Amino acid sequence: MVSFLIRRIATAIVLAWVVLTLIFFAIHTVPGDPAYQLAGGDSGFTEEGLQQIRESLGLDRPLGEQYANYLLGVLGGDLGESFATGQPVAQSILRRLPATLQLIAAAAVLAIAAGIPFGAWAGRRRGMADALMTSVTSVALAVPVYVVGALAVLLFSVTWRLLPAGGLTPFAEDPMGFLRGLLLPAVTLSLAFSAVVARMTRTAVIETSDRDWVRTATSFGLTRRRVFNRYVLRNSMNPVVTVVGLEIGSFLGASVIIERVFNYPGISTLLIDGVSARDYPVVQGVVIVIAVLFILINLVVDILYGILDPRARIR
Amino acid sequence: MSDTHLLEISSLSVAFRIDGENVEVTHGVDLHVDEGEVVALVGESGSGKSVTAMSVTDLLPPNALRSGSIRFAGEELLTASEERIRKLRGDDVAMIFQEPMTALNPVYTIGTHLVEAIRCHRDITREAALAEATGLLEQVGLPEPAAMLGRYPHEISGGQRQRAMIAMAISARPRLLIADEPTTALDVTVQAGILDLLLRLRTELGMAILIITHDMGVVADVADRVVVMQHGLVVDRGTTDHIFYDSSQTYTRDLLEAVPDLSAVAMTRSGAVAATGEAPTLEVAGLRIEYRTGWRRAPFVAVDDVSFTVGDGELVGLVGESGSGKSTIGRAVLGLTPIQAGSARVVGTEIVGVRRQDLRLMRRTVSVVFQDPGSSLNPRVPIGRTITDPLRWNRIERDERVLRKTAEDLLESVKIPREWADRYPHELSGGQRQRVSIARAISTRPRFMVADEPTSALDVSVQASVLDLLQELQRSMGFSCLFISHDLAVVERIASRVIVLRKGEIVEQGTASDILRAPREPYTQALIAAVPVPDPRRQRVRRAERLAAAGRRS
Repeated sequence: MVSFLIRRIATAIVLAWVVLTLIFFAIHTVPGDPAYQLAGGDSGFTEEGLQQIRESLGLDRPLGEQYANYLLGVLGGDLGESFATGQPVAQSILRRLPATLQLIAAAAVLAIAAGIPFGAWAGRRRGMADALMTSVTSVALAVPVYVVGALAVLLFSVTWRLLPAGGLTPFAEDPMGFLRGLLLPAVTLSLAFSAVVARMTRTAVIETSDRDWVRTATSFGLTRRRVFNRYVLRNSMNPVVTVVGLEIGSFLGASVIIERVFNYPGISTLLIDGVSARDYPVVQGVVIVIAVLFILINLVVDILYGILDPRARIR
Repeated sequence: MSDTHLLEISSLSVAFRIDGENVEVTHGVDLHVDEGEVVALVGESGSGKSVTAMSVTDLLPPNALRSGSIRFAGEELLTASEERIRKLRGDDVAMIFQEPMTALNPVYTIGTHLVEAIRCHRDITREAALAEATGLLEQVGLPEPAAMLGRYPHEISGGQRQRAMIAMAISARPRLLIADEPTTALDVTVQAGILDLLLRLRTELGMAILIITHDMGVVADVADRVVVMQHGLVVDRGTTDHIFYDSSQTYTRDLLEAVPDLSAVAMTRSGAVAATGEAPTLEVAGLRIEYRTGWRRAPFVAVDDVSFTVGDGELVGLVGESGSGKSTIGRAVLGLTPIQAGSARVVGTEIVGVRRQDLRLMRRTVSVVFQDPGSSLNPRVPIGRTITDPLRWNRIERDERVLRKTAEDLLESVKIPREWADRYPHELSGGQRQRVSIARAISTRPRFMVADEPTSALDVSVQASVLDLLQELQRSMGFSCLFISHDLAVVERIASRVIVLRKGEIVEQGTASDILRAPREPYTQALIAAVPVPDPRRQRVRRAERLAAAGRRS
């Protein structure tokens, strides 16, 4: 198990390095002069002005040196400074990252808590339960997240005035207010995700129920409930964990819309503002953070595999 | 006759509800098992033997409908409550299954399995259950029982898994053990050990055994009584000696006739073809094949310093247990596996270091038949096209009308009606599919064929006819054949020479009669001694001799 952990972590580190390198070179292979791009393609800048931008960004130095500085900077937590505000990018990200992480974590917990039991129930009962599950999840999957979000705001905040329509009070200031602010965005984000988890669980449960070891367990006189929980459900978790890992990664994208709809102070707002203002260090910083988060989540999934299935430890 | 049998099944019919219709698969089966007795339930695939056995403790899928009566120690089980059946399972009636790999949950250790089995019938602590589990593992002859508790199913061998299964099964000292093909997936020497264990436990625990098998050798070895099933009906029953020597039932006699019998006393060799004087078709010298096992780890040596030849027109049997490297050799001489050292000349072409084009040319003259015809035929292509594909791929023939005619002729040569050319593999039985595979293999009129366990997935009656066909074609077309098998009796039936492999090395090679009648090497002797022969009287003698020999060794 220890060597399994070491292998997985090493793989994740190598992957992170590859991604960082890709981001660096992607930026340097974008056609045109970055300085000119940064100047907004504005012909008003003189050659001298552009040169200044190049120097301030270190763009005039050899590519190898730029790359080394970039990697060292990222490792040291230095993501450069925003063009628009002059503030360190790392600081702005750190200020907004917790809200996004809280949103994603809350949505993931909701999706797992709803999706696994729902899917397990449908897979075990089949028949009507199955039909019900399939139709409910179809709806949840079909309706786009911004429609659900807008509808939720309209009903819960505007019509019934039960929950705030947007914003987020920090947990430390007002725990209840924090939870109330988190609830709508998290539920909205988790809806389609619960549907995916439920369907995956259902399929896995049905498949696992046919396995020989389930029959063996039954033949030794274990109760139905025990056979289901310890033999069917436990062995159905591997595909579910995979899907959860991938979907949490995709949350990072979906939360862009959610944060807009609910005026939620997360990292995506930073990204959108950065893109529209061509605030290039900000964009790069956010992309790096999202990529690293994605790698971390997948590392956790891989380790979970090892815990769930002893056979995965050898591979 | 005592008034109540331990298990009494009477007029049991099982039907499956499929698309709103009931499809009956067994029709009024009667059988019984008495205390301490070993009864074999015999039949080919689809005969309903497993369905009948699974009915006893209601382990059939939910769409199964049972009617008739199943009594255990006088108690009717068909109408018993679910809770009552649950209590009976494992406690009074335990089961073991064919494939011990898939029958154990891969995410739990052997210890966890045993503790679950023990604690579901008795209210004892985990520690007490673990202590008992250690004792059980010792009783079933597993080495280092304490360490075994912490192992996962994938970390131990097939034979050890089956022993662990048996340990679970006897944990509550059941009165009846139902064993569904318990040794089918195992090597013969391992099978012999498992059968010994079952017989010993029968005596030690006084339990009855209902063993489901298709192997008449196993039946002759262990059964007191036999029940023969065919198409969902019991067609014959009686004591083992009666079934083997005095049965008047045609089906039973055909079944016994079809079983290849190793070193039968009055055996008529069906005439395996010896090599002609021409240059050998396959010459293997100093062959070494390694598999990489991981970074900075010593490679696994699958085949080591193996040398042999297959003469022109000769059929040579390559036998060995699982992991002996026999299939690896088969793949290597076809150029499908890299060779680390040595040489292999196939129809004049040296495989080691061969250029791609030469390998392709060589493949025109060689062909292969695999074990499972179900997965080696493309399910979306009609068989008439499949069998002529080698001619298309090798650009030997392109005219589709000629190819169609060839396909029909080929089908006829493997005794399949020529009109079937447009059928798909799923419309054929297992034996028919294997004939189609053979038709494809001979389509290029090869000079050399590798047949890798071609009959292992087939029922005995079908196996016999496929072997006859293969031999007939080999004789008429004159190709040489490397016949890979784990089944000594099959090899004896058709090979002129035999090579015995063990752990990647050749133990012994020679003519089939020398090797199988008078083996010199202890390994070959043990291998042959472990094969149960379908003749109860002879098998009793063989069993006694084998156990005595084992006693002397230890």
